[in-house]
Formats: sequence, C-alpha cells, structure tokens
Amino acid sequence: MRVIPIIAVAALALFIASCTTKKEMPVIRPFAFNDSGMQVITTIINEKDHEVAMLYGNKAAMDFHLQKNGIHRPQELYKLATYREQDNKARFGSYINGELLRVETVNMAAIAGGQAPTYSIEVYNQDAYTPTDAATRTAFIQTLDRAWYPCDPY
Amino acid sequence: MKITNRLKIISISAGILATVTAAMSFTNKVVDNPPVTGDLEAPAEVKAIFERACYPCHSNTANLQWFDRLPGVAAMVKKDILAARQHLNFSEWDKLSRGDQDALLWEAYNMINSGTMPLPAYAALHRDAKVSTAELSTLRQFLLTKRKVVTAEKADTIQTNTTSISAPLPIAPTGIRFMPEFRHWQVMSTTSRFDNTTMRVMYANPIAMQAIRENNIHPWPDGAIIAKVVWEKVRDKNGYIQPGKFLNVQYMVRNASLYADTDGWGYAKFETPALKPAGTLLTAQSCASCHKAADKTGGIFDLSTLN
Repeated sequence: MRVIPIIAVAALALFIASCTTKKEMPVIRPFAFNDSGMQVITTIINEKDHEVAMLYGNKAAMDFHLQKNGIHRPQELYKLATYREQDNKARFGSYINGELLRVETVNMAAIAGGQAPTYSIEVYNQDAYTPTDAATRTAFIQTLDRAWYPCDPY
Repeated sequence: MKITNRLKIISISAGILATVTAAMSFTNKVVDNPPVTGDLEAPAEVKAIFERACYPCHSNTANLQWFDRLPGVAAMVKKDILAARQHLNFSEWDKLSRGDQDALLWEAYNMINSGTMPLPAYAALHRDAKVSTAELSTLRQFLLTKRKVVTAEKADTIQTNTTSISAPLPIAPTGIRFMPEFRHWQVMSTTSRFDNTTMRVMYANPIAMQAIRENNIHPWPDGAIIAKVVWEKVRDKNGYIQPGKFLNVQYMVRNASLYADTDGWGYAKFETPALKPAGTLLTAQSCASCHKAADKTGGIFDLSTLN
C-alpha cells in the first residue's frame, strides 16, 4: 500500500521538473522597414562592420537594372536598408539581419530637370553615425549590380 | 487451499517471466554492429563528446544498456538506431565527401544546441548522453576552425535574363511547383552562412507575413509559404560581399494535414538557372529532420529574433 504514495510523489516530482526546465522561447524581431511593394535588387554584406544591407527598387529601378542600357529615368526610386548582423540563434554557422541601422533613399526625380538625384538618410539605433557625402553614397548605390534571380522580370 | 495454489502459480509464473526477461535483457542482440570503415577524425576532446553522446545511435559501435534490450523496448531502440545511422554514421565517415562531413558536424551541433538531440526520451534514461554547456562551447570552438572564407571575386558583368520563365512551371517531387510570385512577397530576412560560402534572401507570402507579425507561429497557419533564394558569395573590389552564382530557390509550404509526415511542412528545391527540381520524397524527410532544430520558431530557421 505504501507504493502508491511513492509513485504519486515521484510523478509529482517529474511534473515539477518538466515545468522548471521549460526553455526560453525566442521573440520575433518586429519589422522596422516596410519595403512598400518595392523589389529586392541585391543584398550586400560589410564583413568589417558586421552589417548587411538590402537594396530595394521600384518598378522603374528594376527596369533599369534588367534592361542594363545605362540610362536612368526620373521615375526610379532606390532604398538601401542597412542592418546590424547578428548570430542566427537557431543555426550556428550563419548570421542574420538584426536591428535596422539606417535607410538611405535615392530619388531620381530631379534628373528630369537636369539636377542631381536627391539623397536622404534616416538613422536608427546608432548614437554616432557619420555618413559620407551624398554624392558618394548616391554613386555607391547606383553602381551596385543586381542579384541574379531566375524569374526576373516578374 | 485453492487461494494458496493460485498464489503459488502466479508467483512461479512471475518468477519465470522475470528470469526470462532478465536473461533477454543481457543476451538479446538488438542491432548488428557492422565493421567500422572509417571513423570520425577530430581533436580528442571533441571526439570524446561525440563518442559519449552520439555514437550509441550514430555509429556501428552501439553499446546498449540492459534496459535497451528489454522486450518491447528493443524494437524501438533498433528502429531509432537504424534511422540514426541512415542520417549520420560516424563509423562510415570515410564514405562522405569533406563538404558533407563538415555540413553534418554543423548540423549535429545545432541539433544538440537546440535540445533536439540526443532525443529527450533517450537522454532521460541515458544520463551520460547529455552535452553540457562547456562541451557545447568546445564543439563551437572546433567548428569555428572550419569557418569558410569567401575568396571568389565578383565578375564585372551580370548574367542576362534572356527570356521570361516559361510555362509549365517545374514541380518538385513533393508536388510543390516553382512560384515566381515570391518576387512580390515581403522579405522576411537575409542570412550569410559561414559554414559554407552562401548567402540567402527569405521571402514570406502574405499569410506567413501576417503570422510573423501576430507571432502566430506555433504552429504556422496552413497556407503560409517561405521562399529562400540562395547564391554563392563573391567579394567585390571594395571588399564587400555580394551575391554571385545563383544556386537554387527553396520553398517551405505549410499544410498540417497534407505534409503531416514532415511536421506539417512541404519542401521543394529548384536548382541552377534551369530550375531543375531537386531531391526525392526521402530528401523532404531529411529536411524535416534537420528543421526540428528550429522547433522554437515553428520549424523555420531564418527568423530574426530579439533573444
């Protein structure tokens, strides 16, 4: 008859142990950048600064990259979203985009009037960031090649 | 007297049963141990961890405990060992390419680190199978010596897309077709692997993206689809890493009942610019096995998390 209480105590101990060893669940990082229907042109990694960036473009920007005729149009809009790289917690052996650091925008509308494209930057999660000049960054963004997708144009 | 006789019979029967069971638990041969053709080569401290925690199932040197041989248990143990050897066998290490060996070591670490391996039921009975935090650190340091560095240089020109993708679209063995519409889905994440030299962009269809925003991923809703585009990394003249040769597009399609055998996810992979469907239904089982390591995020590896 003493066996029953012993079994009950053992079962209770196991139940408590199973509760206390419950592992911490990951919290999904909220999306800080909305691509607003733009498409990915390419992605670029800066290993030195542990950053990864995604270059997005609207339809006109995608057309420019696919046609490759070297002639820009005023309708083109580019956004380069740069993230800090972080360890991919579920897979050791890879990095994943972490917090958003900045979004640089190049708007080509001004070229219709013979002006230089408009460059702007929004900085996030960085106390000190010194951007290089607008012309240099615009040139950098414009000279990035597209990543090759098998289904483009789509 | 009748009761006494009945007790005697029960006692004798129980004794015989116990004796037979005990005899079987010490003599029952659960699995064969084929010859070791080529053992894992790794530093002694690393090999010792794998030998203690993984070899009992993932090698041809199964050294079972008495309770593994008990009737009923033995059949389950045999099934687990044969399945384990099929996926990873340290005793036939020489049969794998160097790339496959490394890939399995990274995967083994991730399975252990996530608590997926050793199997919790196995670890509960075999206390020495557990891998400590310090031992995980030892494995991590070992793997970092296998970290891949990008040496390929970026070409000056990008391959031209000569024609639009033609119908009919290719279909994987799992019945999943190539879905070019992912180009209009929202980006879920981007990853850079250093266990190999690839980089990826992951897209989520509207159902998957809504699930992510609402943290409704345990389980993911039916209809959620994740697309993953994979390229070789190349280094440009300024030292930045960019996408080089296109390798493949992969899909994970959520349908809890249709893909019940693979934990509710259907897998598909289309390789090379010709989008050749890759793998078999068995490959999908292998995908599902590996994705158990991402159980905390519903089977999806590449979600950026805060912790």
